[in-house]
Amino acid sequence: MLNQLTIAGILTEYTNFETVSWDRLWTATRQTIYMSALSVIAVFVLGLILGLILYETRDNQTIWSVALYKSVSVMVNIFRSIPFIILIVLLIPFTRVIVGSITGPTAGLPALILSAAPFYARLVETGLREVDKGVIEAAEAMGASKFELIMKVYIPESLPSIIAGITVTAISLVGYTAMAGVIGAGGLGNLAYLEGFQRGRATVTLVSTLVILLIVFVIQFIGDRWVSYIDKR
Amino acid sequence: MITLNKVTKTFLNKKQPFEAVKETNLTINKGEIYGIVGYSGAGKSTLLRMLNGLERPSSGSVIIDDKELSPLGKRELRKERQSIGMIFQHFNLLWSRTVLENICFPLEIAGVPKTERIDRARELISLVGLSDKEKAYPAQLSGGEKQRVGIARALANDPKVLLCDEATSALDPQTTDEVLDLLAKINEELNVTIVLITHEMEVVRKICDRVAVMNKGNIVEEGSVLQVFRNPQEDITKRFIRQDRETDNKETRQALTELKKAYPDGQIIQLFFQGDNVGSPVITQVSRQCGCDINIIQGTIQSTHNTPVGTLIIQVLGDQSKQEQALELFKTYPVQVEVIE
Repeated sequence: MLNQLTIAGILTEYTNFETVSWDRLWTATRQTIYMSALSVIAVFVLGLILGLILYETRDNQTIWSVALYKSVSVMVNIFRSIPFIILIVLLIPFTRVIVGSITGPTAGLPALILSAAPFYARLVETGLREVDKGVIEAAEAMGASKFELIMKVYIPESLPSIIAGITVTAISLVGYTAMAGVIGAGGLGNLAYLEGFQRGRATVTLVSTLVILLIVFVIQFIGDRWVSYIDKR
Repeated sequence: MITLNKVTKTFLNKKQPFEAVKETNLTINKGEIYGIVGYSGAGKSTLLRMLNGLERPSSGSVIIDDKELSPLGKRELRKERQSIGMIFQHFNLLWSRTVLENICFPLEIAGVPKTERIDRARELISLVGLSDKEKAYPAQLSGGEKQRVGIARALANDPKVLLCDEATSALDPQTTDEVLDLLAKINEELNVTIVLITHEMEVVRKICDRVAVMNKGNIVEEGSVLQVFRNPQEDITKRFIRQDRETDNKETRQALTELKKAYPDGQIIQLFFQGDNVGSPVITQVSRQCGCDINIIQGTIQSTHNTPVGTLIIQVLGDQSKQEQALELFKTYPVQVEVIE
């Protein structure tokens, strides 16, 4: 009896839909999508460039290549190792200078990009290393320049890995936006924390969670479809 | 067309220098099909890659069509490579591109405008006999079809030279023949000089005009295919030629031992015929003239690029003097005679 009451109590706590402000939910959703989308685009570009640099300089023996590889590699490892919640706090002075504010969705971007780009760069590098060496040799034998090699061989031939990599990165970025939200970047994480946790409205937390799940599923679906469409191997 | 002058290539492997190619001289004439045969590690692959600058020689000069490659800068070398096609053992097609797009690839690099590119690629697709596969991806093609795409791609920029890196080693015997026929056709119709490296003497025999045998970084024997097949000098060359006849040999050897048991006093002779002589009635003439019986054990005709080569193993019966007489008689005919013990 008591048990049933408890369960019923929990259920009502989760289904108190009148406590949800749909307006705020919509705004928060937009903020999350905004942060995720912009950071994914920036991470994609930055990670691709870093990944190419890592790949290109890896086996090169000239002093510049070695120096470049080592410094990019060390940077990648450092940024990958800092827990995101600490990185975002650590970057506050930096964010204040380049964004002009330390709250709001845009203020979340520097930390999001800096934490995910090195991770994605590693994924890109791995993908590039899987490109068939014979195909590269064939392109060189045809007289392709380095730039042509990158644009016509490396990127198209590793595109499934590049796309699959950005899908994984995008999903973890959605997770990071929630953490950024807690310390003031807005979005669904912020909503769940301020309204759901601090005001004790479990329904708000639940709804925020469902929306985040929906976003993640959509990203995963698009990513998987895209990869299977372009992969002709 | 192609001249190698004292070319040496040294690799620095873990600080231990390794000479892959040693002071090699080589001349390849315009329009010929030149084979370089050798076991893996003989340096033939390195030698081939020096012909288009994928490897730079450590010393010596590589001259293609009166142009020396070594002093060329990166950009000039890339330009030069556009007139040297190359095909590979594992085809090396881009999986992300269709047949048509793969063939367009070298044309894109050469800066040919798009409509011209597609026209040219279609021309090549029909040359290699893949007209119905234009939109297929490499993953949907068989090995032979992939190599045809590779050949079409290599020919896109009208090369002077076509380099073949073990181009048939990954193919089954029938497909190998088809690809070799295609290469011979291209050589004839487009007058492209073809340099191919292989470890299969069969490939050399079927389409090459001249051959070089490589061993441990050196060219140990060189000459026209006919001459090398008829009269190999080096042990390694003999081994390659024997390999080419391997399948026939096992059964023949068995037949030989049995025959030797049956006619212990008979002499076994191997005769080589070439060209027009393949059809001449040498056996019956010798048999009639010295009045001895001749047993035919085995006969093969192998085709080379321009002439058939025949081998006949026979056994001469009768007493010692007649056998010797027959042997002398054979030597007066235009055949090569070899006594087998």
